[in-house]
Formats: sequence, C-alpha cells, structure tokens
Amino acid sequence: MKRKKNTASLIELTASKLDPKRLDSESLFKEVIEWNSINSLVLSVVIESEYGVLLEKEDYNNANTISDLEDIIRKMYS
Amino acid sequence: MSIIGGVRVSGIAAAVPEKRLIIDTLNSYSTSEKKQFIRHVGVYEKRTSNLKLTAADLCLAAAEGLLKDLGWAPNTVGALILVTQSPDQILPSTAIVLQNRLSLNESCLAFDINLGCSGWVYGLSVVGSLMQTLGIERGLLLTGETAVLTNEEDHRHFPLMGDAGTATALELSEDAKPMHFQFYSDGGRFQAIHAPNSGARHFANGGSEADLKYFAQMNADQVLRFCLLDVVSNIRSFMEKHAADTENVDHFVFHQANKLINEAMRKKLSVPEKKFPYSIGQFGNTSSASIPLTIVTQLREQMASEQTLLCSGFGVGLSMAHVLLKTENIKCLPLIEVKVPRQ
Repeated sequence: MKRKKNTASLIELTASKLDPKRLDSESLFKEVIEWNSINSLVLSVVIESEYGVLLEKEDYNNANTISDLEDIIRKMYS
Repeated sequence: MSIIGGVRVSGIAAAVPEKRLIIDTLNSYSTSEKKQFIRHVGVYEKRTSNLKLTAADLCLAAAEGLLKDLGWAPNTVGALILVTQSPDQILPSTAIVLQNRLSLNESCLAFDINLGCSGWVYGLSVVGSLMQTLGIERGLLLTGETAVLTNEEDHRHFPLMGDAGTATALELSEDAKPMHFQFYSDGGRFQAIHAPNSGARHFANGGSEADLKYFAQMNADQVLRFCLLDVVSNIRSFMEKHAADTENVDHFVFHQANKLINEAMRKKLSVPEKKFPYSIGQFGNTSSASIPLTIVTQLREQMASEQTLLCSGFGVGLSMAHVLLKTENIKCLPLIEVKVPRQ
C-alpha cells in the first residue's frame, strides 16, 4: 500500500480518533465504532490525509472489517 | 486578472443574537452524539435567533454600529448589497428594505445576492467593482444568515448552523492596495448542498414530504471531496499566482465550514495553527457571515495595523472565491449582541 513515510497503521489511526471498544484488522468496524455520519466523515478525513484517497459511502457499505477497508484503499492505487 | 484597485475596506462589524444554544444541553441528542459533534465538528455553542429576529435585523445592527463608529452619515453611502440565503422575503430584495431602515439616500443602489459560504468574498468583489466603475465613494456589504432553512430534526445540520449578520464598509481610496480575487462555480454539483423545495422549480405545495424538502440537505461525501480536493487545489493555484505563502500572509481567514474539514484543509496547505483563526466553536457555521465574524471576534486588535489576509469562502453552489487583501487600519467593532424578541 502506498503510504507517506512513518505513517501509523489504519488501526492505530482509527483508534486515535474514534475511541473504538477494541479494534483489530478483523473487527467489524461499524460495530465497534458508533457508526454514524460524523464518525464516517472522521474516518474519511483520516484516510485521505494518510493515504491520499477519499472513501465514500459506497466504500464503507462494501466493507465490514478494517482489513476490507485496507483492501479498498489498496485497489484505489492499482 | 480579477483585480480591484482603488477601493479599501474601512471597517467591519458583526452582530449575533444574545441567545446561546449550548450543544451539550440539547435534550434530543444522545450523550455520545453530542460528544462526537463537539469533538470533531468543533461547535460547542452557537447563537440562535427566532423568526422575530432575521438576518436583515442582525445586519442592520452591525451596519448602524459601523456607520456610527466610522462617522459616516447614512446619506454618504451609495451602494448597499446584502448577501443572504435567508432574506426577509423573496420579493422585494431585502437590501432595498434596508436602504430605508438605514436611512440611506434613495439614489443608493441596493439589491440582494443569493450566495452562502462563498458570499462575503463574492460580495466584496461586487461592491468593490461597482463602486470603482460607477464612482461610488462609499458602500456597504452586508452578509448574514439565520438558520430558517435548517430542520431542527436534522441532527447533522441543525447544531452546526449559527445565526449572525455582518457589515463591511468600503470606500474609494487612491492609496488602497489592490484586492486579488479568484472565483469558481460548479453547478454540476448543485445538489451537494441544496434546499430542493425552497424555490419555483419544486415549489412546496403541502404534504409532509414537500415540507421536509423545503429544508437544506447536504451530501457529506460530495462536500468533503469538494473541500479537500477542489478548494485546496484552487487555493494552491491562487497562492502560486500571487506568490502568497504561509510566511507572507498574516492570516488565512477561511469560511467556518466544519472544524474537521477546515483542519484537514489547513494541514494540506501547511498553514500554521496561529495563522488560521476559528470562530466555529462559539458561533457554528454562519454561512456568508463566517469570514467577517471570524475577523471581528478573533483578529480585531490586529486589524488596526497593516495585515495581509487570504480569505476563502467555499460551499453551497458549489461555489468558492478567494481574495488576497492587504489591509491597513480597518476599524473593527467589538461584537454586537442583539436581544432576541419574544415570539
């Protein structure tokens, strides 16, 4: 995955901004984070600043886990 | 080249309703919803009006205060432009009513401009160029909004939008430094922020669905894309064109859209925090009033000295405009608070 230097992992980033109950790459992020319009906006901003891609509602609909989100971000680069 | 010369900004005033709405006290919101809103969207309180105190009333208070402080007799003002999306009525233009309420001469040109977030910068270009072209010595730009198009049930939009009215005084001056502008309009994305049934195209004619569509709606994905990609790159090109950078600009006064989005824009443009003032925490997103309100509440003392400001308004339209302003001795009044009449 193309990332800027010294970036934190998507899990660390998400955890730092959204106070999930617990989070690993297989966590269902829409369950461990209170999933609403503000939190999806926060996640989009974090992902854009770190990876330079802007996810949209459809991308979140197509993803269940953080690992799914990482796949979507990776595909945006290929 | 979008340059206006020979016109200076002489003074700025802002008026808000006295009544505060503290986000944390909203009963119909869950505790976590409020916590997230305050932390990320960045609004912890806003000023709130009612139907008895309109954007025009707030602008009037700001304009009266400003004229008095500048020592301008009302009959010396030859242009009055009001930028708002919450006019007192669709017809006539509210600015014409304000000509009379401010006791300006009948020879004064007066009309409304329907713009939101980008409105103060557009208004500055319209008033400035009209004054210069027509030889009008003094002009007033009013920008204001009350959240009449915001549905109280809309938990995303309602706590964000605040009420305010502002007045900016301009005068012809041979010594004035040129104002540099850049504009952008994209009607292809007009539905990113719109109030579908607020005008003639889909006139609301009863029924709860029609009523609901009277209110403004926002597509957060489209707005985020616009701000982080289009606005940021447009500002970058504007800065390059005018050799403006984070060193030679004293303050970047941006429309107060949403703290999360504004902070992301600030970081992308590498603007230091101390050069990027915010008023959103105390006043919310006040649409076209946000830039002058931020100047009045955050930069008032600095405005007495020479300053280079880069002001950027962006949002509903989709529309944006930036202006690079070299200002000197702008009279900035303390914030005016207006009592909210009983309904």
